[in-house]
Amino acid sequence: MFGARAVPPEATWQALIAFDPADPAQGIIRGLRLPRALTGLACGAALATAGVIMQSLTRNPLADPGLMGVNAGAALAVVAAIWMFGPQDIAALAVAAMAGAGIAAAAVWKLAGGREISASGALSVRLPLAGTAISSLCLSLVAAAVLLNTEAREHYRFWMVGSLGQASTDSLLTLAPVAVAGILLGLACARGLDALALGSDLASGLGARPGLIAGAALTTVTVLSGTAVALAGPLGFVGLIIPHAARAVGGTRMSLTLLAALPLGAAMVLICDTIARVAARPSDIALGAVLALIGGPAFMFLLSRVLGPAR
Amino acid sequence: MSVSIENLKVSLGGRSILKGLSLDLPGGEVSGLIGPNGCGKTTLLRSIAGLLPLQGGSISWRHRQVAQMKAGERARQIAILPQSAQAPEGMKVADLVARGRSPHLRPFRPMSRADRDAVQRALADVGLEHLGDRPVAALSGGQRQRAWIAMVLAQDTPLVLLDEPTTFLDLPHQVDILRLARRLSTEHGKTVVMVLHDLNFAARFCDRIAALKEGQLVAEGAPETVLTQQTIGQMFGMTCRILSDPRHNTPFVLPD
Ligand SMILES: Nc1ncnc2c1ncn2[C@@H]1O[C@H](COP(=O)(O)OP(=O)(O)OP(=O)(O)O)[C@@H](O)[C@H]1O
Ligand SMILES: [Mg+2]
Repeated sequence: MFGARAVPPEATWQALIAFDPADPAQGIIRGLRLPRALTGLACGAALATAGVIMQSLTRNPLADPGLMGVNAGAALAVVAAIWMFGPQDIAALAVAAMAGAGIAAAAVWKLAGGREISASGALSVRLPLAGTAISSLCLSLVAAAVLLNTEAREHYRFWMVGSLGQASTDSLLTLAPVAVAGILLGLACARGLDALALGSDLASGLGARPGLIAGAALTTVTVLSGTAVALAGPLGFVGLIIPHAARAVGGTRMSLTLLAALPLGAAMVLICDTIARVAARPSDIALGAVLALIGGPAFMFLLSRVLGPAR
Repeated sequence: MSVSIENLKVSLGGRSILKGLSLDLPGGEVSGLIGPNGCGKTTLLRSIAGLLPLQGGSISWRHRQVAQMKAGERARQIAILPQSAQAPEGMKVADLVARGRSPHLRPFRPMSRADRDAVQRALADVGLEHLGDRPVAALSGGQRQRAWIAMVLAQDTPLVLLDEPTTFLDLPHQVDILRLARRLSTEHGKTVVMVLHDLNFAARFCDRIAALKEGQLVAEGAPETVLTQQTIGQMFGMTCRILSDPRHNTPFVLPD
């Protein structure tokens, strides 16, 4: 309904219930804004789910696919794929994004010292540090690609900040089922993640299989952030902030927290995208920039709560 | 009906920690594991719980190899309370205890009436029935330890393994927990194996003691046969006198 060009509410309604292709206003709704809104919902839900799972798995309230380099890795992989093989269809981009997300997650884990120190508390400090390092490495490589490649600059910029400007019915139809599958896999991990939150010895003692759970959870994160990046570029802050709100609803029950994160994440992306499109009519500033404007301060607030008062 | 360990070999990080250990822990009794820091007590307990791959030998519980039990079934037979358990942030006592029920839940089903009753009973058993709604973080060290033990009780397994259940507790709370461990065996018929550092408490609250040093068994049996000057010298390289607790008739170790 909202956007660079004013579309009357009646036209929106008409477009949804009785589409008339001859009406240009209805065309905007059906062809652009509806897929854009739905893509936003899907990305928000996917990133929020990925964030909840990452924070639980790493036992770190500051873990998220943005901060931990997973989104950046996905974006870099997409840019590299386009660089090497030229423009690709959305399915190929999604595969590249997932591969990039997976590699970045593995690199962060390795750099942080992963397995050896996961038993000690040190991991919760080392993971965000390693994540930040990998994230800035990937993003600066993407930036280099953008700067070197003048004619495609506009195109590559999308992979630096993220926006819903490229949303289309086609890519949505291709990737929505993948996002849904990822979210379902995440929900299936819920009880296992609850057990794992007690430490891996207790989790095994309670009949869970830590290796299996961690593997399934990491697959979920990879699939979801890969999908979100393929659809909208590397969107930050959703996966970082929404889990905190979701935990306020779901408490220490992972299934409830995940269910709460879905609408919250979707709403955050949708609201920020609406702001992005309305604030600077008729051009639309990138969604990623608005998320950062709102997410940055929220992140600082979270950080001060997580760190507690200085002693 | 016992834990029987035969020629157990376990390595961690490429180092051999348990080097061919054989031991029988009788069913329905309280057994204590003692020994110096780093001698392998925790490793032995984790092995019994099936948490570690064995390099050699075997561990069986009720005549079944622990290594061959399925994860879910093992969790209905054996409960373990690790040495330094940490509750997730913001978790309430009742929720923590309810986690003990997870091996009894069916996939994607919520807790049943019976599960909730088991949680209540476990809370009452450790005297925390009024604190179920408190965050675990807002408990005293002793209450927190009791909450963890309640979780293990809610798991309702015939074999219970406790790793240093009394660390960080003041004297009365230590005695409380050890009495509770005894009640598990006398009233609930459970088999209890626990790691203890206090030799005199081990003497007083355990039916049997196994003494370890450098991954090997030094002595095992009733407290008065294990806690001798010779064993303690061998284990800790320390000289001591052994008195007798006049009231409970158990050995009392007095270091020189
Ligand atoms: N994950 C591991 N990797 C490598 N070595 C380990 C690991 N865990 C324990 N060890 C080593 O195994 C040995 C036995 O450890 P264990 O924890 O069983 O000792 P313990 O008897 O319980 O000691 P404590 O009284 O201090 O709790 C120690 O030397 C320890 O350093
Ligand atoms: Mg130990």
